[in-house]
Parts: sequence; structure tokens; C-alpha cells
Amino acid sequence: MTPTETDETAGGATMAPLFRLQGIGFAVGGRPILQGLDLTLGVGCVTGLIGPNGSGKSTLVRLLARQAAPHQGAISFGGRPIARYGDRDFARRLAYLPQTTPATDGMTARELVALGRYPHHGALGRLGDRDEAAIAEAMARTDTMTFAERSVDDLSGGERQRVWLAMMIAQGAACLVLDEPTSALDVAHQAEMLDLLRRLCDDHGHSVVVVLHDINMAARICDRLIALKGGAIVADGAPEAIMRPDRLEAIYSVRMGVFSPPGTATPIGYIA
Amino acid sequence: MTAVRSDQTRRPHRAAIAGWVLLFVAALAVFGLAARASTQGLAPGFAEIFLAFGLLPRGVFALLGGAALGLAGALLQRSLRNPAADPSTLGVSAGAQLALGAATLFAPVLVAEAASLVAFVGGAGALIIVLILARARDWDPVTMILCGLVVSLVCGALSATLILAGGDYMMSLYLWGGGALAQSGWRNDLALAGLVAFAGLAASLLRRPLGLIGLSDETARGLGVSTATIRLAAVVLATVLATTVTAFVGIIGFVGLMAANLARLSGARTAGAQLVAAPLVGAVLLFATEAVVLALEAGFGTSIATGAVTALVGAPLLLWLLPRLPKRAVSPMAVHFRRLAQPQALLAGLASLTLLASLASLLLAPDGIGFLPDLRSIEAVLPLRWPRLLAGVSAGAMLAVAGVILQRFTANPIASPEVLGISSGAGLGLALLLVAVPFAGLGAMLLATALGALLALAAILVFARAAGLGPERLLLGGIAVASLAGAGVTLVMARGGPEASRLLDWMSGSTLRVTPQLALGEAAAAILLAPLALLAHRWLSVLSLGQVTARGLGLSSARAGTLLVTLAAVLTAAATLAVGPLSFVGLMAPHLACSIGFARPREQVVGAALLGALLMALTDTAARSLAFPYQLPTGLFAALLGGPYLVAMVIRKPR
Repeated sequence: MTPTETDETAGGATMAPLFRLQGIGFAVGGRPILQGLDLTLGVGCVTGLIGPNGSGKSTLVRLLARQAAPHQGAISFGGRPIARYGDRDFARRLAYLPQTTPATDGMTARELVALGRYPHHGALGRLGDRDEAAIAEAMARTDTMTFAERSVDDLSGGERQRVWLAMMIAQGAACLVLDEPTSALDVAHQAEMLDLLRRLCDDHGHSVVVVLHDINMAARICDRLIALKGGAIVADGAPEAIMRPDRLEAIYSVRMGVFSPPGTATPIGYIA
Repeated sequence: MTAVRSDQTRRPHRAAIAGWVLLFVAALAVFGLAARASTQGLAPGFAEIFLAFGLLPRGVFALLGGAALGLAGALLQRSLRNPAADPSTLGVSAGAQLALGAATLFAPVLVAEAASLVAFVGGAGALIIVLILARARDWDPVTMILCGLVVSLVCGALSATLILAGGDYMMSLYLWGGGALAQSGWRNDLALAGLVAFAGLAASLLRRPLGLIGLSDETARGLGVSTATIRLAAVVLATVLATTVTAFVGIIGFVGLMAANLARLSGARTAGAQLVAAPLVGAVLLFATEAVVLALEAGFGTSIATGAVTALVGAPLLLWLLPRLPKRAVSPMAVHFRRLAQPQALLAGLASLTLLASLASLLLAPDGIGFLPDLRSIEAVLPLRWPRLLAGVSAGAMLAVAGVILQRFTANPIASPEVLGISSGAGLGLALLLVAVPFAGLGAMLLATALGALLALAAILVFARAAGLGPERLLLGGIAVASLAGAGVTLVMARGGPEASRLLDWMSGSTLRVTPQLALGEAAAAILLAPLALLAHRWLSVLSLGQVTARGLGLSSARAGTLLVTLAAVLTAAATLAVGPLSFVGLMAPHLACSIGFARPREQVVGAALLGALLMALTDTAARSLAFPYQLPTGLFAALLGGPYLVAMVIRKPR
């Protein structure tokens, strides 16, 4: 029903956009977090949300994942108002990873991934062959098979984050929304996690919306970067367009420089 | 979340202070009028003596006691950084009451010589247990209150046992437990005045370090405050104050909670200001309450327990406070248990063990040694034994299933049906029925308890929905409702009519009078309701991951939670009818199931139900045989096992 307009980064130009946000406002205790936000996100690409602390990134992804409803404005998801989806129907289309994952009460990795099938079989349905196949596939893609029978609480930070990602993939949702999935990981595991997201987009057609703290990591894997500051969008475009000293300075309010290391495609930003 | 709105705390409000003065003046006037009314008609000489040695000391005691409790509340709240801390919410008062009860029965000379010391030992013991229990969660405010409630319940169960063991003589202990301020002379006043003066001095020395502890331990330590010493000093001081008041007049609930919070709302922002304002506010509050109680007593000629009245006012305040408690990032209480590879085999074993225990319970000789000798004696005792066994076993299974649901739903291992306030609601329903119809029949009693339980549940759910509370705070709503209902029951008990002993009988969980009809009803309820929890096993898995993840997986925690909690409440109400409100099977059985290794929800439900049934079969037999030819109340006997179990469980695996 919604005609596609200029979808500069979206792969499928004939489909409805992944998200269309119009005049979004959100406030906590009378203090506005987001104000008059208009945004269209495309299908089949990795979109990175960046910006300083308190800029509204986490709030925005919570609205996208329907963890909260906007106080003003409308969000449509896949061409339909986001509130019109049923609970499980929505969970079959969008999987969300919060910034801090809950303790899992001694559950094994495999049991946690299997919970990702809840939107498909519901409270009473049996775990069928298709569910088993989806679980196996998700664990294979995230390389988590080796510790399938270990308790999630006992895994290392990087392993645990991959198990949660496997649960999201088992959900079978085409859209993945992640809130700072790398915040507790060292550099090597950050890169591993983000490359995994990139591959999910390239090889399996997932749409990914991810909040990232590290601007250089974001520039490395994202097709499009959206920078928020004070609840409004201050920059929006391909990484090359954002990774310029004046744009970065406008986002982070600190003097920054950019250089391109020889032999790599992505420029690196640093505090000047 | 904002703790308390900052614009209200910026500077002391003149209006608030004027309001407190006005309340004090009004209370003085009411007290004066009530005093005149109650001395009227007395012989001229006696009226003056009654005034000088009865009423005046009583008024002064209300002022001093209020100040002591207010100071205790402020000290506890400051030092533990917990705005819901209070001697009654942390188990201190209940511990003191238990110690006094035990001393009255076993060592009366101690009570005569050193009642305050006995009370202090009991109160301090209870507080230490609460602190140990809450350690696993870094003394998170919500967890502390939960632990305090559990300890209070256990102490209450033990006190009730003492009352039953002591007979009529101890019934007065229960009445005293309600907190009546009646005085005969100035002795208590003088002692309390000295203590309050000393405590005030000590508190003024603690004022600055307590202000720093209010921020965080790291900050305070960085500024050179020895946090452990200061905290210990403040807590000990508060315990002395609260237990001394308890030793003199019994439990005056919630005054410290109210005083410290109202003082803060009236503009006392810093530690120093709170330590001054809270005792003043507490004094005015308790004096005003006492004036109203005195006026009511003069008007109606019955005695009313002041402590129960303060609880009636204070419990709603706790409800109001709950959504405003600071959220602290808590490490979850997850404890690693081993998992069974083949749970089915063990479940089958448990089932046969339960059957065996039931069979043995039916066939054992009356004193528990050896079996019944012949068929005729079996025929003789069977009609006496099977109803109470069947009712107990069914109730045990239902309580266990309710416990699994609540512990999984709230992700809190201390949650249990006893804690949710359902059983207390049932008690209030029964109390009100017995006031109206002292000799009501079984049918009416069933109806009244069920209605009371469901009303308590409805109140909790409405409150939880209105405040948008997570599972943990839902439990706190249950605590507040439990306090409210408990205060109502105490008020009814304190009237001292024939209904009091019937209530005590029910509260003790005596299965002695279970009829075949009730037993069959209990069994039917267990068979119909318990399997519903099995149907919901996936909800239990998903919900234990928290609301955000549950929503992400497409499970509305509000809807699923409402259904699950309703099921738990109905299970509890049905079970409570047979075994009383205090059995703690709902707490023990899910734990035992976990520690055996039934880790997945489905196994845990079945395992806990079997264990609950087994526990009740064993306690029923033991309660019947141990003191033969006397009988101990089954529910209380189970609670006596449950209390130590809880403490042992938590001490065994500190993290």
C-alpha cells in the first residue's frame, strides 16, 4: 500500500520499505528523548545507528522492536502499521537483542536457541522437524554447535553473544534489530560478531539494524550510517559520506580526523 | 526511575511543618476528650490515679515509641539504602516477638528480668538471617523486603505454635502481639526516654558518615568512611530501639517506614535532617493513632490493638512506595544445579515413594512404631485417617505447583504462595465471616476463604497493572496485601470472642477436622488444576528470561502472567482451606525438585508436585504420631520444617 520512494540503499526497490517512521516523538518523565523523527529504512542491508550517549539510539531501536510504543507519530513495518501485527506474528518477522541479555537460569545453549521457535509453535505446539532443522541451521551459522550442551551462563562473553544471535536466527525473522551487541566484547570478538551480521545480510538476505558505539567498526560493516544527537538525526548516508572530519565533529562534538590506511577500503576516524 | 520527586525535596516546606504541628494539636485535643470520656463515671479518687498512672503514661509512651521507631526507620533506610526498610518489614519485630514468646514459655524469669535483652537477641537474630539471605543479591531493596517477609512468616508460625502449645495462658501473648499501648505507671516511659535520648546522641554522631553511605559504598570508602563499622553501628542502634518498643508493647508495624518516608516528603533531604525529622514525625503519627484508638475504645468499650491500626495505615503506604523504589542492577540469584539425564526414571521413583508413604501413613500404628496388627483395627482407623491424608497430599501437590509457577514467573527463588498474600486474604475472609456468624458451618467457611483469597489476588493484580510492575514488585504488592489482611485478622483476634480460637485453629493448619467431602474436593481440585501448569511449561521457560526477551519472542508477559498468577492463586486458595496458611510446602517443594536436578519446567512441575505430596504425607503422619495421643497441627508442623530448611538452603551456597 505504501509506494516506495527514493530508496537509495535498499536492495529490493519494488518492496515496501522495512521501516517507515513519521514524526516520531518519545519522552521519559516529561523529557523528550526523540522529537519529530522521520526515517525510512530499506530491506536487505545493514543499517548502523551511531551517536553519543543519550542521543536516543537505544530508544529508537526499542521502538523499532516494539518494546515500547512512540508517544507521537507512526511507524510502519513492511508496509503495515507496526501495532497491527499479532505478538507472535511480529516475532516471526523481527528478532531483537537487548543491550543486556538476561541470566538464563542454567539453560543449555541448545535449549535457549530452541526458545527462538516459540513464535512458530506457541505454548502448546510440538517441536517438529522444521523447528529442529531451523535450530540446527541457526547453530551452524553462528558456529555454536560445539557448546550446544553447555550452560549459557558458563560461556565466555563472545560465545554467549553468538548463542543469543543463534536464538534470533532460529526465530526465522528476516529483520534483526540489535542494541550494542558488541559492547562487552574485546576487539577480536567484536569483529567476529559484526562479520557474522554482515554475512547474514549478504548470504541469507537478512535486514539488520544495529546500534554501535565504535564508529570505525560501524563504518566497516554497515551499508548506511544514521547518526543521532539529542533525539534528532544529524547525519545519514553511506559510511564514506559520514567518515569526514566535519561530519564526525558535528556528531560527537569533539575535533576528529580521518585517514585511510593504505590497502583498506574503510577510512578510520580518530580524535584529533 | 525517579526515587522521590526532586522538587518536593529541595527545601523544607513550611506548609509541611505547619501540617505536622496542626496534626499534633488536633491529636492532643482528641486525646484530651477521649481521656475525659474514659474517666467519666469513675470514683473521684480513682479517676485521678487512672489519669496519672494509666492514660498520661500511655500518651507519653506513644510519643516516645513513635520517636524510637521513626529513628529506627530512618537509620535502617539510610544505612541499607532502602526506602522500604523498617523494623517490621525486615523481620526484626517478628523475631523479637518470637524470642519473647519462647522466653515466656520456657524461661519466664528472663522475661521478668531482662525482657528488652531477650527481644533484642530475637530481633537481631532475625535481621542477621535476613541480611544473610539477601546477600546473594547484594542486598537489593526488593529482595531484602522479600527475605524479611519470609523470616517474619516463619517467626509468626513458630509464635503461633507456642501459643497453641501454651494454651489459653498464651492467648494473651497473641493479643499483646497486636501492639496495645496500655500502661500502668511511668516505668516503661522512663526507660524508653533514656534510650531515645541516648540513641539520638549516637545518631547525631553517625549523621555525616551516613550521608556518605547514602551515595555508594565505593564513594564513601574513597572519602575515608569505614562503611562496615558505620553500617553495623546504625543497624544495631535501630535494632535496639525497635526491639525495646516490641518488648514493652508488642509489634507496632510500619511506623518507622511511614515516619522516614513522610519526613523525606516533608522536605528532610539530608541524612542529618532525616534523623531529626523522622523521630518527630513518628512521634506525632503514633500519638495521633493512639488518640484515635483511645477515642474509639471510649466510644465502643472494646479494646483495639494500636499496632494493627498502624499496619492498616502503613500497608497502603508501602503499596504507594513500591513503584518508586530505586532499581538496582542485581546479579540474578541463579544457582547451578546439576541436571538429570533421565528425569523420567527418578519421577517414577518419586511417585512410588509418595504412594508408599501414603500407604504407610494409613497402616502405621497410632504411635508410629510398628503397623496396625489386624484388619479390624485397620477398619476402625481408616475412616479417621484417609480424609486428612488425602486432603494433605492434595494440598501439598497444589501448593508445590503454585510455588513452581511463582518462582519461575518472578525469577526469584524466595517467591512462594505464602508470600503472595493469597493465604492471608483467605484468613481475612474467614475472620470476617466468623465475626458475623461465630458458629458458621464448613460450607460457609469454604466460601469465605475462597472469596477472601480471590479478593486479595484481584487487589494485587489491579495494583500491579496500574503501576506497571514487573514480577518482583508484584510480589511486593502481595506482601502489602498480606500485611493489610494480617492486620485485619489481628484486629478480629484481639476482640477475643469465640471466633478467635476457631481462627487460630485454622491458622495453625490443623487437618484434624477434615471431612471426607472436603478431602474429595481437595483431590478433585488437585487433579483438575495442577495439570494446567504442565500445559503452560513453555511460558514458564520463556518468562524466566525476563519481559524484554519474552516480548521479543512474541509472548505478552502481561497476559500470560495474569493467567499463570491466577492459576497459582486458585491452587493456593484451594490448598489453604485444608492445611492453613503457613505450611511453606510451596517454598520447599520447588527447591527440592531443583536441587534433585529437575531443571526444565515440565519436570520441575511434576517433581515438585510429587515432593509436595510426599512432604505432606510425611508431616501428616509425624504430626499425628510424634506426640500421640496428642496431635500437632499439620500445617504448623510443616512450617517448622520449612523455616530451618529455608535458612539452611541459603547459607549452604553463598555466592
